[in-house]
Parts: sequence; C-alpha cells; structure tokens
Amino acid sequence: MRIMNFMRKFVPLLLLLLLILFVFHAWFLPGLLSTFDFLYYSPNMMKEAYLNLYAWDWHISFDGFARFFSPYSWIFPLIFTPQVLLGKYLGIDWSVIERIAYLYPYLFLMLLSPIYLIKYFFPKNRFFLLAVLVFSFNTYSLLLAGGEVFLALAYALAPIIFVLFIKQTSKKSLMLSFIIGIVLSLQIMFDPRITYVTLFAIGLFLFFVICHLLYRKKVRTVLDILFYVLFIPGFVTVLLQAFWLIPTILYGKNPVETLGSAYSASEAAKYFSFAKFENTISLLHPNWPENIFGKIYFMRWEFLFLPIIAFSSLIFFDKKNKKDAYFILYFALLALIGSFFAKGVNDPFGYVYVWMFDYFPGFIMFRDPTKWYLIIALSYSILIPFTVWKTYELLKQQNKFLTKFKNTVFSLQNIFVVLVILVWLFTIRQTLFGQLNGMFKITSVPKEYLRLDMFLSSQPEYFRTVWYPSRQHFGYYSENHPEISTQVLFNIYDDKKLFNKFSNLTTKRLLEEASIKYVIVPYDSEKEIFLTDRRYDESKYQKIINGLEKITWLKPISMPSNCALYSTNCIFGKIAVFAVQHPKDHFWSSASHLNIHYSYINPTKYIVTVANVKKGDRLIFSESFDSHWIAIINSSNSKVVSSKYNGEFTSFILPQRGNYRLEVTYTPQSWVNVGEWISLVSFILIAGSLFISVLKVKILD
Amino acid sequence: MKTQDILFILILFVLLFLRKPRFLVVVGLFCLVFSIPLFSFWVFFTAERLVMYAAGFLLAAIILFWFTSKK
Repeated sequence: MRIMNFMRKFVPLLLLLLLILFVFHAWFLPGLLSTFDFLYYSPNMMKEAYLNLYAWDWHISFDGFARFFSPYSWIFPLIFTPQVLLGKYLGIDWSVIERIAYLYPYLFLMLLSPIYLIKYFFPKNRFFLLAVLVFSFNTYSLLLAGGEVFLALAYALAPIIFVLFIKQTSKKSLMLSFIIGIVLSLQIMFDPRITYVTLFAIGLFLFFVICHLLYRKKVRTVLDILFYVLFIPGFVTVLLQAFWLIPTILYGKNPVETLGSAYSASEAAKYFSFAKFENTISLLHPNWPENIFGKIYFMRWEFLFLPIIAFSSLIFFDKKNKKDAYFILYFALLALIGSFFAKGVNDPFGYVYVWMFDYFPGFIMFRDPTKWYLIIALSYSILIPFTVWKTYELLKQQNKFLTKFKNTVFSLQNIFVVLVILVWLFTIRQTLFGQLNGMFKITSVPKEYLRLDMFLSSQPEYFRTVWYPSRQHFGYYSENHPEISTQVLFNIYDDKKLFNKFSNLTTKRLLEEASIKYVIVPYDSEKEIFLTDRRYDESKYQKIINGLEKITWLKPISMPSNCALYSTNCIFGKIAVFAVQHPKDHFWSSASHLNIHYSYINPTKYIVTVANVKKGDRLIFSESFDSHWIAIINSSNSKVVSSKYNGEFTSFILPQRGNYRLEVTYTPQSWVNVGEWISLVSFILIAGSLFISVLKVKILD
Repeated sequence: MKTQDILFILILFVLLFLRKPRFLVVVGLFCLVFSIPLFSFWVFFTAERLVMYAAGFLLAAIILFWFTSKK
C-alpha cells in the first residue's frame, strides 16, 4: 500500500521531469542555442549594449535606416539588461546568459504555470500534471520554445496571470492588484500580443461574473471588482510601461500602421492564416514539426483525439456542482472561441476575422492569428485533465463489479490514463525522436563570422553594412556599425528585381550617402536565406556573388571563390565582402569647404562642430528623415529644424556664415526620459510596498 | 449550401427542440470521431465540414447547458 501511494505521488512527477530533461536536453548541455528569432550576441556586440532606452534606434531596420523606436522598445530592458550586467560587466558568454536569463526561467514557468492554473480551478483533480503535458508539450508551445523564446515566456506566464486575475474577483486585495500589475507588465515586455490574448480570456470570464452579479443586483460587488481587478492593475501596468507608452502616445501615430501595409492591411491577415479550423480545434500548429514558414501539412487525424477528450468533459456536466459546471462551460466556450480566431480568415465565417482585424481595437496586431492558440491550450489544460479525472473515477466505480481486474495496476482506469498519455506523446513523437530543430539543437558560430566580427568591430569610425539579400543571424552589428538588409531597404523580395535595383547607379549614391562601407553576402550556414521551395539553393548564392562581382563601383575585399583572382584574400570563407568606394561619414556636407567634426553622445544626441560655413550650407545627417531632429546652435535658444535631403535623410540648413557648435538632438527622447523615471520610481514604490507588507505578515506571524 | 449542411441544420434544430444538451455533446463528439477516418483517407471536404458541425453542436450544447443550469 505504501509503495502504491509513493508511486501515485512521485512517479508521475518524476516521469514528467524526465520528459522535460529528454525533450530539452540541449538546454542542459554546453554550447550555443540560436535561431532566426532568438539571436546570438557576440562579446563585441555585448560590449556596445546599454541599459538606457532611446527613442531613436536602428534595430530591426524597419525601413532600412533608423527611426522612432519607442513603440517597439518594450522588450529592450529584457534584451539588454542581461547583456550589460552579465555579458559586458562580467564577461559571461552569450550561451550561458541565454540559459540563465531566458531558457531556465521558461522551463520553470512551463512546469509551474499550468499546475497553478489547474490547482486553482480543480484542486481535487489528481491528474493535475496532465495540465503540464497539455499546456507545455503541445505543438504550438514546442514550436515557440524551439524558436520564439520571448513569445514562449509570455505564453508560459499566461496561466499565472489568468489565475491572479480570477483570484482577485473574490479576494479584492490591494497587494494582489500590485502583483497583477507587475506580472502583467512583465508579460507585456515579453510580448504584448500574448497579453492581449490573455486579457481577452480574462475579460470573457469577468463578463460572465459581472453579468451574474448584476442579475443578482450586487452592484457594489461589481464596482469593487472593477476597482481591484481592472482599475488598479491597469494603472500599475500603465505606470510600469510608461517608458514606451508616453513617447508612443505623444508621438501620435499608430505604431502598427507605421510599419506599413505588410503589417496592417487585412491582406496580411489573409496571407498569414495558415491554420484551418480542424488544425486549431486539434491544437495542431500548421507548421508542425519543421516550423518552416508557409510550409503547411495536411491535417493529421491523430490530433482529433485531443478535442474529443477535451470536449468530453461536457458529458460530465453536473448541475449540482454549479461552480465546477460553470468553469467547464467557460473553458469549453473559450476553446471554441480560440479555435475560431486562431484559424484567421479561413472557414467557417472567415470574414468575421477580417472585420475584426480592420475595426476591432487591438486586433490589428494579429496578422498572424496563431497567437490565439494560447487560449485553446489554456482551455485544454483544464478540460483534458478534467475528462481524465472523471473518466478515471467512473471506470473505478465500474471496476468494483469486475473482480478480475480489482486492485491491480492493470485496471481499466489505469489503462485509460496511460492510453491518453500515449496518444498525447504520439502526437508530439517528433519531439521524442529528436526531429525538432531550432532551440532544441546545439549550434556554433562559424569561424567566418567570428573573423568578420573582429574585422568590423576593430574599425573605430562610423559606418553601416548592407547585407545582400539579408543578414544571417550570426552577422555582426553594433550601434557604431548598424546593419541593413537590401530586401528591407528597397522593400523588394524578388531576386531579379532586387539585383536590378541594387546595380543601379542611384543605389551607389544612396549607399555612399547612407555611410555604407561594406556590402556583405552572407554564408548561409543555417540554410535559411538562399532558398528555393524552402530548400537551400547554392545557385542563388552563387548568382548573387557573380552579379555583385560585375558591379564596377564595388571593390571585392574577401571573396569565397577563386581567391587567387583578387589582391585580397578570402579570410571570411563563404562570406563575400565588397567595399563601397567613397562612403560618407555620419555627418557630412556636399559643400567641400566645410570642416565637420562630431562626437557621438548617444543615439539621440550628437555634438557637431562645423567651421567655414557659408549662409545656406546644408549639413546632412545620414539617418532617415524625422522632423523631430533639431540642431541647437551654440548652446543658445536658437535652433535649426531638420529638412529632408534626397527624399531620405535628415539635414540642417545652416542660417548664417561662421563657425557652429551644434547639439543635434532627437526631441522625443525627453518623453522617453520622463517615462523611464515614472516606470522606475513606480516599480521601486510598488515592489517596496509589497516587500514591507510581506515583512509585516512575517513579523505578525 | 450542400446537402450535409442542410442535414446538420435539421439535426441541430431537432436537438435544440429536445433541449437535451448532452445529446448535442454526444453528436458533436461523434462528428469528430467520424472525421478521423475521413482525414486518414484524405477525404478532406467532408472531414472539414464534420469538424465545423462538431463545433456547432458543442457551442449549442454549451449555450443550452448554460440556460438549463440557470433554472
């Protein structure tokens, strides 16, 4: 009996931990883990990382050159803080930092979070560990963990946030409101789209609770709930996120719309609706298991067992146990809504998604509808363990009459549980057979990229690099040497059109004026750039090299083929590097009599001295045009506003002859500074008050 | 509208008239079960339709459960 009890208690947990170790074994081995969506940072890159946030940034190269960045800077504290504290100051390698800062916290959350969820709603369910299997080992969560780690972290936080909110509807505690605000802020910093989906699930729950209370005429309770559940956590979240919310609101443009039609047009939602309804209701990610963008498979029948098990919970609907019954109804409804949204514009009623994308506030963020898989996983991690639990109890009762099976390990109820687990494991068998790539496999940085890193970072002057057609994720960049991809720069993704555009003489001028010193063709070590029908195509790479060789205004620095032809060597192996012959400096002028010197303070501030100026001379700043750039003259009140140069760059027309000392600043930075202070002070106050209240409770105890 | 759509609507109305939400759940689950062999034999159109009907039956069951439990 003792042994049986021990087995019941610990064996499932041990098996689950073994499964985690088996699936995520690469995370416990030494070596680098990196994918296209979870980047690598070399020691030289981390040296240039900073903790401050800036309104102007070139990262991600949305339109080629830098731009107003604050609407996208929610994630920056999470990216840069580990880099600065562990990489820059302690000299720890990125492969260790990524594990400490992101991967191990994810493992912790993926285990704890679903247990917290099911223990809140069904504390007596002995199959609570199944919730971990459902929530953290489904095709969607595994693909997230295998590539989009920040998204995976936001996903793993969702059940905790969900429970905290629901708990607060009955608890109504000020401290809990503060905790909700902090955890919600953390999730926003990982991925605000996942927060939107989480809040949708919470909103639906609150809607039912409030309707129920209003039906019973408990208006006071409703007001209390609104205050503790919505107002205080919302206010705390706004304060903590002030560092990007304030500049974004004051800048006055919808950040998603400024990204262009590829993000905001409903056509994008149609393009990205890869999952069909049978995929979503079966919790089957359309790209499972290879996770190759756009490569979708026929429906796999075995996944249909998941909705069958999940919705079988409705058969056990018991009117007498109202609380449990309502929870099951709510989660079943949530699963259906999640399935409906996650399929995007596909049948049935696909036009509803298009309408919501165009008109419903916030829905514009979901051009990729698969984010809605979160609420399907959330629902199934309650419904499936519930069905298993109730079926187990039912079979146990039936077993009393089957003396042959009585008191044996191989009882009907045990066989049923094992079968459910086996079905689940069968659906994710590719994980068990080690067929998943991305973050599930150790990788290493090719030596060619290490050499390129040294070569570029050793040059102190400012310049940009342009990667043709796009940067490989081991490619070096920094604040002093930003990178651009030609595809993004010209917004052309067709190979032939891109080459025609690039070989044009106007491009030569553009590259020079944009301070681009090197054109780099990457070595596609991860086979993710040069693709034909989603397979690596060496001929594409060769074609580009051959084409660029023929461009007379490009000077080969390192060529992969036939080194003897060139005066230089091929130190970068398969990485081809060409030099643009006369790149301009960061600040420059077409007037040759000007003597320009500048010093970089931060991405939003430069001190520029200009001598021998004639009235009307133009100082050009090779950053994309934004009217918020101004130049303050000689620390006085007088300033020069920026004007557009060559349809692309920021420039300043100097009003008088003489010598200038200009403070070139990007004015929205003052909003970021205010926001940063509000966020920081709020965090200290809220965390301090939580600490004191915990201390008080301990002392009273 | 296909023949199977009309059949689905007819069954749905009959089950709603009977006001037995469990019947709706069972029919919904059967739709899912029947779609399994169809998907395995790549008979996609009918299989996809069955999954959609299943969702319809289950949604109706949830709504009906909700109202019957209120009484």
